Amino acid sequence: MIPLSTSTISTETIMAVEGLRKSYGEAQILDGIDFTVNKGEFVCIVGPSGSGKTTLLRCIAGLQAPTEGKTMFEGVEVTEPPAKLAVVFQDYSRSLLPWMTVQENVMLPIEGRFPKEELAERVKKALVSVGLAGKGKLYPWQMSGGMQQRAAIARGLAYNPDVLLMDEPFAAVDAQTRVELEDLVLRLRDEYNTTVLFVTHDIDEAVYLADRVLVLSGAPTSVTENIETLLPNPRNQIETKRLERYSEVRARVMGLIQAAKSHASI
Amino acid sequence: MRTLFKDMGLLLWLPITILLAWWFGSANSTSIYFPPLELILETFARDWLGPRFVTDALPSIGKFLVGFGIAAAGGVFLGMLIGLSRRLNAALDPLIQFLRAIPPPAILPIALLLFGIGASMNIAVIALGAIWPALLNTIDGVRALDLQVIDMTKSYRLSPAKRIFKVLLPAASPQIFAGLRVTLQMSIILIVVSEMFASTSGIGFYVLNSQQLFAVPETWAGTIVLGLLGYVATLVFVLIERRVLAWHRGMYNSLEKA
Amino acid sequence: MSASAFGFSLGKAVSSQRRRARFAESMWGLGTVVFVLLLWEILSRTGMLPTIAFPSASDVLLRLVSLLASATFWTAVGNTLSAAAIGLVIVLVIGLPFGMAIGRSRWVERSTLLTFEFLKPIPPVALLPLVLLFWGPSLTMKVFLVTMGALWPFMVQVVYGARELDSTQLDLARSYRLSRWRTIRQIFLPTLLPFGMTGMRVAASIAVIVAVVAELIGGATGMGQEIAMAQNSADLPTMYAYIFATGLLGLAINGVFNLISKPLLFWHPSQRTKEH
Ligand SMILES: Nc1ncnc2c1ncn2[C@@H]1O[C@H](COP(=O)(O)OP(=O)(O)OP(=O)(O)O)[C@@H](O)[C@H]1O
Ligand SMILES: [Mg+2]
Repeated sequence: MIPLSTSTISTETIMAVEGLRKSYGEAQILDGIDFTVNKGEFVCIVGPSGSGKTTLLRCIAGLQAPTEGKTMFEGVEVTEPPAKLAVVFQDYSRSLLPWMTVQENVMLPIEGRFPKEELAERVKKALVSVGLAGKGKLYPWQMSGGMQQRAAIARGLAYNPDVLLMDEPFAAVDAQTRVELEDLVLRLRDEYNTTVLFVTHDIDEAVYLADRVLVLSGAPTSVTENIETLLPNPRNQIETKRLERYSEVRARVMGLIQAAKSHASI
Repeated sequence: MRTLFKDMGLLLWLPITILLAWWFGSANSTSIYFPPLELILETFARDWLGPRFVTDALPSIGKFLVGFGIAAAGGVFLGMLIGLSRRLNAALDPLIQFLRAIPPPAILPIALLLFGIGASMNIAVIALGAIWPALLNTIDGVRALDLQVIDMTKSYRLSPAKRIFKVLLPAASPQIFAGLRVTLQMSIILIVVSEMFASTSGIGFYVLNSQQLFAVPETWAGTIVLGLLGYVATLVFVLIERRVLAWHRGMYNSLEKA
Repeated sequence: MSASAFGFSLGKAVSSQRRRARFAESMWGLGTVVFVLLLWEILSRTGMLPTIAFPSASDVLLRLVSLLASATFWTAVGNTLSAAAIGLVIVLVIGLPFGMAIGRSRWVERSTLLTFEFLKPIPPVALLPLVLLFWGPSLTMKVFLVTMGALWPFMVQVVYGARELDSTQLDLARSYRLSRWRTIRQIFLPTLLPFGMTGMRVAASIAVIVAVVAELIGGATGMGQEIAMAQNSADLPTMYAYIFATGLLGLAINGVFNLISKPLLFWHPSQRTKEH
């Protein structure tokens, strides 16, 4: 049996969360979160619904100040949204702007930062990468949920970030689309060479995607485990999920989540 | 083709019936209150397709457009400022609620005292009286901006100009337009009323003056001009609204189908 | 720690916090009103506001208080209100059946479309000279104008409501053989009521506006006429006091609508308090 916790292989830290606490009034949501993410890593955070995943992610993204502790991005303390970080939000139907075409949505953050031709080139490349070539002139509401989430990912990619934060991006799409999108994200990670921090409540998704899985406890939330999946790349929906190692990690995470849940409901 | 004709028939029978009934019913009318429609239309053509169009109609339309423009732009601009600041909104809300509860024509005497008779008085009454629906709807529209959209604009570090013109205003635009429509209706009412109240020219003045002189066909003709003014202004507004809010209708329809 | 106990204390903490925030907000609002009145008083006392247009705030407020104790004032309020109210009743009587017919029947809808779309945007006050010609400065004149002004906004809402009446719900009523009365009470009314209330709210504010215009310019008795008379005798405090009083009347009417909406529409989403 392979040991479940080993030291990280990658070298350079790109992001660090140090002693992060967050309360709303008297309600403590996050209770001392500590972890680091290395450059090029794919890290998944799994936690039960309402455990504070979005709250954690907003602190990391600089959208919200922590009550205590801090988060570091590329060696600098985060006090405002970092320039080299892009977020793909939980609810695509609310984060894509319905008065703009897909193309305009993708262009919005980078408009004015590059000359016209380069801008068009970047947008086109991002749309091709996510499989939306030729769909740029559609409005978000003319597309299916899966296509909308692809568009939201394209917007993140065109921004050319070092780190992509994703908040339960596939929670609202059907199972088949979800499988496609998971493989898409894995491919894009290699293509664009980005670091990905991916939040989900789905254990299978987390284990399948991640180099490393962080398991959250129930509220008030802390990181209970830090598990390297040590699964071979490239991943494959059938082959990878057949591996003994996959079942092992999956069972381990499942156990931790269940413990967290029963702890929370005592 | 056939159904098209049928629909045309359905659309047109009532207006045509009314016009014919009016025309023939009033043809030999000797009542001073209901002159023959023919006479009304003749008066209309003589006065309003002639010199009065330049001396009375154009100035009225001009004042109305300037007043509406100030009320609309001012309402949207101030509404954005107030809507973006929780504190400002809390501080101003009772004052605004009171001011907008005053029937706008009631401020006519104050405007007259301040500006005297003239275009500036008409414009001031429209600007002050018709601003409230635009203002209140803009405040509501801005305050209703989705939290996740706000997060998006921050995390992608959009410039303030982009935030306002590409996100905030379009997001609030359905509500802003609903407010502007009422502002428009109020502006029309106020240009008419303010010209009736104190003026020496303009369509409103002409109609009320005709009534006071017992010039009945002129009163009818002027009423028709006022009606046309209201109708055309609303039509133009609706056409612009359709263009600007095309995305909103599209989204709404796609949700309906789902 | 027990999560349910935690949740409970959390809820309490948040609600008391929210109550405090709301109280602070209303204090800010009150502060602004007091500030504006004080500023007005100082500016007019020191002669920085043109005295031909602005009396002092205290003069206006004192006059308003003395008016509130006078019979003339309440007669004027009664005249304005009764014209508006009669007009609204007529609007209800005409608007409800016409709105229902337009909303439920394609034939009626298409037949009346052009006529109504042409009549709707015509400003009601445009008819003032004509109705003055017919009836002079009378109650009839006022009521007619009010009706013309308030009919469309109400009827438009009834049409929306009638379209909202779900044919599945009506089928359901038929298949369960609900009596006519129960169908009306349990299906028609609950669907139409929110739309009707919205329409009446708009109609009521237009009714007051039109009534005031008919009095101010047409010379019918009521608050508008009192404003005009005070203006003619250059009695600025009285003129301002009446203008303020029309605003208070508007607020009061709005308040009445809020009061009756709550028990009538308790099940409607618009009545639920926002969660955030
Ligand atoms: N602005 C806020 N004020 C008060 N409480 C909040 C606020 N935002 C979130 N919370 C509370 O914090 C807790 C965690 O919320 P969060 O949205 O971070 O959870 P989550 O893990 O993302 O949930 P989900 O899986 O449903 O997305 C919840 O109990 C929520 O009610
Ligand atoms: Mg969440």
